[in-house]
Amino acid sequence: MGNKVVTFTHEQLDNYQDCTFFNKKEILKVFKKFRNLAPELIPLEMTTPESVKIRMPKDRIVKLPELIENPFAERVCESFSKDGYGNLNFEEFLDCLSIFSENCPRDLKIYYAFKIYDYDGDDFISESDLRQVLKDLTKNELTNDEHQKITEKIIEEGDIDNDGKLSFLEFETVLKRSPDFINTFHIRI
Amino acid sequence: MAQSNSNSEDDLHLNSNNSHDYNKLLLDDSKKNLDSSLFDDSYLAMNIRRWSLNISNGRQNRKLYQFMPAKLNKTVEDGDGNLLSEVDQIEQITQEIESYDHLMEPNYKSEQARIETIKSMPQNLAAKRIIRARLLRSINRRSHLSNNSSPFRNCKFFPNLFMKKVKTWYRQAFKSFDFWYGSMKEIEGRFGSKLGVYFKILRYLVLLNIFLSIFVFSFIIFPQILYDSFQANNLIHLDDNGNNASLPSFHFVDILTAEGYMRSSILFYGGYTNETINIGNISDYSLPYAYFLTMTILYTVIFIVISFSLLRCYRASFIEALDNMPNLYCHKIFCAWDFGLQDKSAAVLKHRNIYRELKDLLLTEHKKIEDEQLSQLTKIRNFIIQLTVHIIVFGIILFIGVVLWGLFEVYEVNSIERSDWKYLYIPVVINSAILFCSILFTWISKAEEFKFPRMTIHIRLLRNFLLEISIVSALLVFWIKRNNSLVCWENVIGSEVYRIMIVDFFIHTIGTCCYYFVRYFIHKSDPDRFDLPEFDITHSSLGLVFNQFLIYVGLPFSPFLSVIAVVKFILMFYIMKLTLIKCCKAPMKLWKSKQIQTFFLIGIFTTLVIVFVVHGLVITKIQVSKTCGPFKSYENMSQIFMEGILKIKEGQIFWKIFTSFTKPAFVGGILLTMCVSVYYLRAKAQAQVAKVKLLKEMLYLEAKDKEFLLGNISRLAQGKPLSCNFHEDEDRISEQDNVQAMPIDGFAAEDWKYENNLARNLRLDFEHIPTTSGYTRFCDDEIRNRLSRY
Repeated sequence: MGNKVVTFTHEQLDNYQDCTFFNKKEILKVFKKFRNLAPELIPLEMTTPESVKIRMPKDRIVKLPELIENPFAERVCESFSKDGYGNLNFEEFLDCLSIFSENCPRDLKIYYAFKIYDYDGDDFISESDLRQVLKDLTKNELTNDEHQKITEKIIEEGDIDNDGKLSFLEFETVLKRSPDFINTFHIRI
Repeated sequence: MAQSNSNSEDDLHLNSNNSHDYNKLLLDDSKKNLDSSLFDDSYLAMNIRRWSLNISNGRQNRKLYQFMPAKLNKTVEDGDGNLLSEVDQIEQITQEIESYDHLMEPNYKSEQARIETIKSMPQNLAAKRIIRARLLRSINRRSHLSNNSSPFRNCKFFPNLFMKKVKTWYRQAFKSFDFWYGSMKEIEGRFGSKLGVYFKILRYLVLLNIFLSIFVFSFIIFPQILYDSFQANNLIHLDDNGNNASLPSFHFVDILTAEGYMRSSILFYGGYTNETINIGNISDYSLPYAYFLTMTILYTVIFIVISFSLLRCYRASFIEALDNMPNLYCHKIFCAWDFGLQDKSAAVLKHRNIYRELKDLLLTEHKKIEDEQLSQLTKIRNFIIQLTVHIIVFGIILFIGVVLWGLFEVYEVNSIERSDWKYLYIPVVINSAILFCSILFTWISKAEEFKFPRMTIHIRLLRNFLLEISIVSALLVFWIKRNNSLVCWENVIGSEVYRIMIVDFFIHTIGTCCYYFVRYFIHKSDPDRFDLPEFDITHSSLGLVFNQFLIYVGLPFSPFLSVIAVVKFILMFYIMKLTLIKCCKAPMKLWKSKQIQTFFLIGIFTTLVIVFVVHGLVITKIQVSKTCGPFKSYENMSQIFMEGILKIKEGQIFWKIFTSFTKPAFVGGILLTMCVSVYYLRAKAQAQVAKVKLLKEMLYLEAKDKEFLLGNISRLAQGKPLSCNFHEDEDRISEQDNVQAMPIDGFAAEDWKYENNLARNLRLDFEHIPTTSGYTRFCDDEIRNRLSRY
């Protein structure tokens, strides 16, 4: 590539490569995307420990071309963020895109999908979570009655221990049966 | 990248020193964010136990590491079951990994295992980096202590190392080179990943054919070109009869018909010599051997590669996913949104799609219950209709075959090399027949009604597929039968295939393109009445399979076909992409992308098997033409292999052994063994199924027990009398009407509301579950006895 500015040290790239599902080229691509969101915030050189911790505000991240049309963009940011507001630093961003890549195993994707769909963060996908999901998916076009019916049906189909909400295990069982999940839960960078 | 692996081991000290400060900073950062830590998930703790169990089995199954995410150590909890803080969790996880010896060896294999383990943990990146650094440090410490650091410790992993490096290099090289990456992203962004599958398949085919053409070119075509150019002075032009004739002049129409000038060029089998090429006294290069070996080896390799892809695809789409999924709604909601969509209009469309599908689902809820009560009469009527349609379709296919045969006889190509448009008649007929029949079949199948809408697609594909196979086999059989009466029959087959491919490009690709454009213009003129055309994936995938079939059939007879195929597929890609983007909209109803892939692979695989068999027969049994081609001096092609390569003559012992392999007794014995093993495996699979069913029933009964006992505990706590009902709804009803609950056997069949989701999820059949604990009536004493036991 011939860049005179060294974005990451070799050791950093090695680290990232071992801990995510990307190779070095892709990591640099991801960094370019990250930086393009807010060039004034992110320096070109990311070799210092402080620069890795700079957080990009959520409203910039949802403008990423891959996420801009996604109704779950905000949830994605919140699931991967550690500060509770959805602001991601570079490592979390990298982690996020790595989960959505092709090489990520299905179980890991299911884990994070559960996190995304669990709006209130109580480790269960309850009826209110499902209603939110529906609202985001159909852009508020379904009536309340239909919302009710659909959420009932989902809980009925997925709930095994009869507690009225979906736990992680039940969610996993349901998604393990759909071969399509991996294809849809995939963002090409 | 290659040095990074070795560097990481050599510079361990350096690494750890550098990262030490780094990690400290990270830790400090994480300490501040304890409150909103990602680790505060209780289900993590629960599943952590499974992870450690899986690791301990890791020696057998590397693959288990892939299962991860939610399998973390139970030691992540402290005594009360609360999750430890993030720092302590990292500590615990590191210790847990360290306790597994096979992960902590300082050699290459365990490094890979470690990396896999770390990658599949559901921790965030910062935590993973800390864990990785710590593990490296402790490994380094250990290896220094144990002092057996021989420079050859990694020797035994050299092959593994090499393969891994080759794989990573390959993946990097092809990812960075990722063919048409930009186009794929654009298509997937606008139309979703399902349409992207068609283009992925196209790209796969292009790569496959490039692979084929590289080998064919370098081993067969290139030497022939060299030979021809060196022989330019004394070039003797022979026509098919072996008589000297002058080179026919070149007409434009020859490109399309592959006759005349092209007939004797390197395009076809006939243009290759049977001599040993000797250029500049370097060495002997026997073209016949090269021709035979390249073809056989290429076909075998492709066969193996495609079988493996098919196996993987089949397992993913049929075995792991149950076909008629009961989880319709869950699937609709959780897998509905395609995260790859980037285009605004596509997103709007997708939202509307999801909305419409949900509405449809809600409506068909009622219809489903009605359908199951179809009367006998309707069933018989449906059956008769389906039977008639099948017969009609078969009739059409046979009819076309016969017509083709007649046409072949009428337009039988004789050995006079002339350039004429008449050669194009047959391919035009063939291709238009295919196009016309596919439309006809779709139209006919509207009359049929299948229980599952997916069956319609499958049946339609099957019919078109049968049609294509029958057409091509008519072609093959006709010309192979003529091997005695005609000279150079291989050329004829090659040229027919070439013509079919070229005409197919015009008729199908450009024809479909024009059709879409016409509909687009109609839509533009009157947007309200006419809608944008939908991109028909089934039709297009069928076209791809047909093309690949032609390539398989024609390759031994026309080596240049692979190059032509590459060019054609590339053109098809761009034309289809243009058409799609300009004038199509995404189809409303799509079958799952995995199924498109599976169908495609099955199609390619079946055609490959058929071609294998046919070519096998051709090679061993059919006489080669005496006047053209590289095998002029042999009886049939396999003789080259026997006599030339293996240097076995007829009558010798090895010959007898070889031929005995093809004797019916031997072949029958092999088939019998295969049948027996298939039967054995099937019996094993059925036993597994029965075992699974038994376990499911046990699971169900346990769940029922738990529900029953918990219900009674809560009733006890509330001071109500204990009940022997097994569902709280029954309690409500029994309390209302003051009626004792009914025994459970068979109760759920009547009223689905009482049916437990678990049973439905497990697909259990209520009537057959034995009535054991939890299913019989209790009196109060017995309940108390039971409860006191816990």
